Amino acid sequence: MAGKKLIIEATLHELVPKATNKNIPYGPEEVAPDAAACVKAGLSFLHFHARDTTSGEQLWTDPKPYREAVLLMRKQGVPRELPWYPTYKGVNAESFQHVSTLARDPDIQLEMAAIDVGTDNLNDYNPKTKEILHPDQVKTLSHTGIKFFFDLCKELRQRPYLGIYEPGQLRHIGAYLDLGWLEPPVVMKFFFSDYAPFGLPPKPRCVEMYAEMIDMVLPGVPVEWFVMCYGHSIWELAKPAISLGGHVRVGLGQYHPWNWPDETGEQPTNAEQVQRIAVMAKAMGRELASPADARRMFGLKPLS
Amino acid sequence: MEKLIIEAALNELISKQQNRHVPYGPDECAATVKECVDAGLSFLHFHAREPTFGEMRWNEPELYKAGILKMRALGVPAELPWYPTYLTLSPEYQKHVVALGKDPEVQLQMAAIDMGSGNLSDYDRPNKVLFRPDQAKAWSHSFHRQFFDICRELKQKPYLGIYEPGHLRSAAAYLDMGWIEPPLVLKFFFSEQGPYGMPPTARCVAMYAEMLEMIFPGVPLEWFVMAYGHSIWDLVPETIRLGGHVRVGLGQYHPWYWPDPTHEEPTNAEQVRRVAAIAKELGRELATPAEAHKAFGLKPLQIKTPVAA
Repeated sequence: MAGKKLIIEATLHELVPKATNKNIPYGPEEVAPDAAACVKAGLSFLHFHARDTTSGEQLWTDPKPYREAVLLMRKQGVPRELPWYPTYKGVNAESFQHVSTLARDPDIQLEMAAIDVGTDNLNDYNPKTKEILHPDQVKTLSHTGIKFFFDLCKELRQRPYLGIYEPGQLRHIGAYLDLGWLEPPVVMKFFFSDYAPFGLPPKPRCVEMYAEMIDMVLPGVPVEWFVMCYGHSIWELAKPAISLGGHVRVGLGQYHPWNWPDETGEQPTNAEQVQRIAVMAKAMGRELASPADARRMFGLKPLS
Repeated sequence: MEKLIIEAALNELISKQQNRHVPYGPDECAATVKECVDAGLSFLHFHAREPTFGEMRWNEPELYKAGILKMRALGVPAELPWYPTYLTLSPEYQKHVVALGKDPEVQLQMAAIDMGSGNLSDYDRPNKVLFRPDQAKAWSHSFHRQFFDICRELKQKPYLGIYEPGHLRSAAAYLDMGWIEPPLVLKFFFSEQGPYGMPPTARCVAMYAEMLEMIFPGVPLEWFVMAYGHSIWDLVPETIRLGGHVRVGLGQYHPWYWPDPTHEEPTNAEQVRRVAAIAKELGRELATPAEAHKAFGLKPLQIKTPVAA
C-alpha cells in the first residue's frame, strides 16, 4: 500500500443522543467546531445529520442546518475541499430536496451522496434480553430503487458513496458498473456491526476477506474503500484496513448502541477518535490524506 | 473426517428444453433418484411437477408421495432425507408440507428455508439485462420465526439456505433465542447467474468455513455448498477438503432464464458420480442415506424399507 494516503472519515452523531455521550454535537454551532477539531486531528471526509440545536431531533431534509454548519466550519479553518455528505429519510425525490438545494447552492456545492446498497435485515439484537428490535422491518432497496438514486446523482453531479452490508452487494456494484449505472472510481464503505447480526463478523480477518473479494469482483476498477463498525470493534478493524490500503470511518454516531445504553460508559469525542486512527496510521507508516487529497481520490471536480 | 453427504436438486424450475434429462413426474423422479443413490446420493430435493409438461405443482402432496413411494419400491432406503419446495408460508402453500409430515407412509422430516432478505435477481451479462430488477426478497426476522414455529409443530428440521454471511449471524441469534436447535443444517448459495453472495470461487468456500468457526464455535452443524451454474466444480474439492457437504443437480446447473451456452446435458446421476469420484480421490468416505439421516439429528423412522431385489 505504499503511496496511498489514508482518508479518515467521521460520522459525528447519527441518531445518538447527548444522554449517551455528552460530546455529541447537535446544531451547526456544535457541529462546526467539532468538525474543525477533527480536521486538525487528521479528518479528510465528513458525515453529519441536520439536527435540532436543543433537542437533537432529526431535521432530515432541511437544508438550512447543513448550510449553516458548513459555512461555519469553514470560518473555523476547515478547508472548502473537505468532502462531506448529509443523510436522507428515504430514496425518493422528496427526501432528496435538501441534496438538490445544497448541490445547487454556489456557496456549498455538495458533491457526495451516500446510499446503502441492497436489501437486508439490519435489526439490532440485544443478547442480554434476547430480543431482536423491530423484527418485522426489512431494509429494502431493489435494483430499480438504486437506479433511481443513481439517476438523481447523475442529474445533481453527486458522487455516490456506496454502503456495503454483505459481499453480495459488491457483486451488485459489479453489475451496476457493467450496466453503466455507475462510474469509477467506486467509493464504498463496508458496514460491520457489534449490535446487529448482519454482514461479516466484526473481526480483523473479515476485513482481509473483503479486501480479497474486491480483487475478485472489481478487478482493475479504481476503488476507495472504507471500513466502519457499529460498536467498539472499530479499533480491531482499523489496523487491517490501514495495512491493506483501505480507509477508516470513526465517529460517535456509530460508536455507541442506538437502542440501549453503552455499558462501557466511555464518552470519547469525535476528534479523539480521529486522533487515535492518525496515531495508528503513523505507527504503521501510512501518510494521512488532506481534504484536498480525499477529493482527488474520490474523482470530484475542482471547486469553483 | 466426517463422511461426505451428497445432495441433488433434481429439477427445480428447469425444463426439458434446457436438458432432456430433467425429471418431471413421479416416475421420472423415482428412477433418477434410484440411479443417484446408487452413485452415492444421501440427501434429496425435488419439486412436484406435472409429468408431461413439467408445470410446477407447488403444493400438491400426491405427486410428492407418489415419487417417494415409487423410489422406495425401486430400492431407495426410506431413511433418505428429502424436502419439497414451498412458494410462500401461507397455509394454502403449506398444505403439502403438513400432509407429507403427517402421512405415516411418508413422514417428511426436513423443511428448507432460504434465509434473509436480498436482491436475488439474475443478471444476463452478455445482454446486460437484470431480471425483474424491482423485486427484492424481503423476509423479516418475524417471518422466519413463523416458519420455525411451523417446523416445530410438524417436527421438521429446518435446512437453512445462506445467501450472505450476515445470514449466519442471524441464524446465531435465532439459536440464542431458542428459535432453532442444533444440529444446524446449512447450505451456502453461490451463483454465477445472480450477482449476490460471495463470488463462486474456492477461496470463498474457505472464507465461509472460517466464518463458521467464528460464529458457531462448538455448535454441531452440517454445511453444504451449492452453486447456480457450472462453477460448482470449482467449489467441490475445497468443500470436501474442509469437511463440508456438496449439493449438485440439474436444477441448479443450468441458467433458468436463458439458454445454457455450453449445451451440456448431464444427468443428475453423472453429477453425483463426479462428486463421489472427487471424494474418493481426496480420501473422504461417502455417507449413506441412513448416516445423513443421523447426522441431521432426525428421529428414527417407523417405516419398513422394502428389500431391494
